[in-house]
Amino acid sequence: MSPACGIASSISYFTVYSPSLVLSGEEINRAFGTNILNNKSQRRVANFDEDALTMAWNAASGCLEQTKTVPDHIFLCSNTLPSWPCGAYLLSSLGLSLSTPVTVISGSWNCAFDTLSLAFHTAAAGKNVLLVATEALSKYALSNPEIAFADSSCAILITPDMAGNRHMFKPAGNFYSADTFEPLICNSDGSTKIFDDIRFTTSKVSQGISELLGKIDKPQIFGFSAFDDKISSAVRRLPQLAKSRFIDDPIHTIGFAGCVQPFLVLSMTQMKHGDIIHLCSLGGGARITALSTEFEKFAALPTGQKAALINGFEHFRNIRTFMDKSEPMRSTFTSEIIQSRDQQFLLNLNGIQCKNCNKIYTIPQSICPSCHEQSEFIQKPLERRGTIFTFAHEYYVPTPNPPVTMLVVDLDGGGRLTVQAADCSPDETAIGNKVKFVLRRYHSGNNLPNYFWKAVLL
Amino acid sequence: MKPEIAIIGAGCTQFGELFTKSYNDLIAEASLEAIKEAGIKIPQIDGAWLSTAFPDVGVYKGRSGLDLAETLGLYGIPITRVSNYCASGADAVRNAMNALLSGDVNVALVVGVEKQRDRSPQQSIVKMMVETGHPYYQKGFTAAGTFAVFANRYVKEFGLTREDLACVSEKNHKNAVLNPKAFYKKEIKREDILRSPMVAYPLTLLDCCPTTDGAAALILVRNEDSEIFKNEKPVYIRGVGLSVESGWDQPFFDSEFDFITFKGAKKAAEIAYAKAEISNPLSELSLAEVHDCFSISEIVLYSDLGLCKKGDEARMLRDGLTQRGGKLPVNISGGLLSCGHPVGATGVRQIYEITRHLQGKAGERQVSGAHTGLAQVFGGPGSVSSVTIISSKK
Repeated sequence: MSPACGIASSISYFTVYSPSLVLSGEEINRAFGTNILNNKSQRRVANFDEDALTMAWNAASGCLEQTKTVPDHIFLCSNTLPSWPCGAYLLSSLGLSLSTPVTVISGSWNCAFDTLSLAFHTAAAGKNVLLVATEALSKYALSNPEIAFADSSCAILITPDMAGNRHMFKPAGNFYSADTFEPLICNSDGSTKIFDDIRFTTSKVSQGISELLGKIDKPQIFGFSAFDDKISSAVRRLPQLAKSRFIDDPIHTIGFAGCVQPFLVLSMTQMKHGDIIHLCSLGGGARITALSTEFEKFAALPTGQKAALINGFEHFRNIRTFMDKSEPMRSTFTSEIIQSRDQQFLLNLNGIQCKNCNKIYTIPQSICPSCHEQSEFIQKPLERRGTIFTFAHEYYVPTPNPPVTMLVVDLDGGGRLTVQAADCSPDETAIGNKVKFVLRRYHSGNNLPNYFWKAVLL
Repeated sequence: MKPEIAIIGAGCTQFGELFTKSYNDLIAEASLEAIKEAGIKIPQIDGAWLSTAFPDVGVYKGRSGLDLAETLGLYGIPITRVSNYCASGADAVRNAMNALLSGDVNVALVVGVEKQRDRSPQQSIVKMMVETGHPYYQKGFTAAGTFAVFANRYVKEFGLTREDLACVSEKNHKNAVLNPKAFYKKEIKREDILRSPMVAYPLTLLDCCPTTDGAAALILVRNEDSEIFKNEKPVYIRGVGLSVESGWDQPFFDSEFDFITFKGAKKAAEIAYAKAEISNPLSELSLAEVHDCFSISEIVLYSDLGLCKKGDEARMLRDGLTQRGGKLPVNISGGLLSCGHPVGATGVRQIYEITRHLQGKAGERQVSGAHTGLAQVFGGPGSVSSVTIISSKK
């Protein structure tokens, strides 16, 4: 196979988001009374207020912030997005026009490569494409230690082919086999069931990959999107890969993040100019995709890397199930109408500025409360960072991680917003500290999603 | 111009967990005490105001003046329900005064009532902001949290300590021991206040007022008519101010709000002092009942009410100026921290308390020689505020 004859586009920027919470392999083994996981392995898991959509925002916003690019098309790849209109929420929270096309792709862990293919083709046709892959899988780790799922997301800005920054994409081969089809069944209630003979599946997978490898050039770099240590060990031992650089790192450091996994592997390859990487993912069979680069560096910028070890499996269970609890506490008087009216400016973080007195408001006004003129307001995009003006630690607000810290934040460039703090302990919060906003879920009153901003310390 | 209104009758129920009494029972009890003192018959009342802020007990209960009519058989006259957050009671008094002064009404009844303990604390207003309200605005605040943001600013700007906050609660609980109608009639040591569970840092449980059942009532007439009635010791409202400033939305979204001033209280005090011709409140007032819903509120209010300079509040407290026997005793009743805070009733209870002191009928807790008192309430983190000045002299 020669990647040079593939689709040429440019991977211009790459961000990976790993949530800050860490569940150790040791804790998982202890919880299930097994030693199936390497005690030194880790699983990155989302906080209670994160889901596939908020993590998609994390990766995507990091990518767009760095590149200052307005994408023409977004491909959103995930098997675990909530059932809300995620495209609209993502566009609003990224401050992008709602007319930007968003294509959601799901169906298998292998949909990563479908997405990559579409993104490369679209970019080759002259568009700036944002590919976002996101999975919130750790809830499946509640019921099964065999594959300890993880939560992660990544975003890749793929632009039309540019001299000096060219990447070639070409599918190298697929195989499909009923025996390898999703060795795990994930039920909607978060429970999982493993097919009876995981070893049988493992042997089928390695056999299938071996057959595929027989049809292509020996890979320089083989990036393997492994489910677990066992499959990875079996594939690593294949004779065709004896001289290849074998990369499966994310399974040890992050866990298995579904369709994000091939991209996590890619982010860790440290490809150099002229390298050809063969990426292999598993799902409904196995697929190998070849990617070559003519660019010196393949930069991935991980965000949210501050690590906080979860204190025990039971606490992880509390975190993971908190948003699903149907206690009265979770009910609210919110409505679709309030949401559709107020999300427009709140998720966009579009404030208004009085044309008469220039005062900036973060929430809508009909009449300027400052100059009392029924003047026109102009839209004022608000900065997503600011300084803590004052705060309160709330010990009686429901959360799996008490207390909830409320922050009154003065935004850089004007305006004030009051939000909850995220991913921090009370002793880290002080007046004058700098924060930035991240998209999080608040609650799901009346079966409506409530995505809003929280603040994390810079 | 002075309002020229006389209080000829006042009543107040026990404040507390009144499980055996209904909303209507409380209205009846407070009203009858006031009516009896005024020496009038119910049919003489020709205008009434019912103050209830959070009428959540039943679907209809407390949502209009109807409950007052049905409880007292007070039919065929105008009755208005007033709801203006925690300032509802004082605003009901203000509205009654205006009706009297306009000549529309000759004998006015004001009743403030709230029944909060019929529900579990989880359903109380403390968690209202967490569970209800706008989907995003300030989601996650309890009532205590919306005042804790003031406390943390005070810590930053003036070096306020948690001990200073505890001093307020200690003082008010000590005062309450002598008030038979208070919810908690028990001294609480400062270290116990500091040790009590944290609610919204830096406010502990004992920095917060309890949710409470209670009612209070007043009979008001114009000064010129006060002598017609048999009450021998009427007292006189000399000034009232109500001010609505930014509350739930603006402070939390307006970067000019400083979180060290309750603008509404400051403005309401200015209006009331001007009407009552008070220029030096610390010297001219005999006592004050202020809205200590949380200990930080009383501290901030010292300066907002013109009793000291901004930043000097803690010193004023530590010097004992506002304790029993001090230059200006504040919350001699025990305040909201000890009496509790049945929202619609609180403003009326404060005026009842001042009335009893001015009449010399406050029993063991009597402030000797009391001639002029101030009652102040506010609601919606300090935004809707009322100040009423009452005097023993016309």
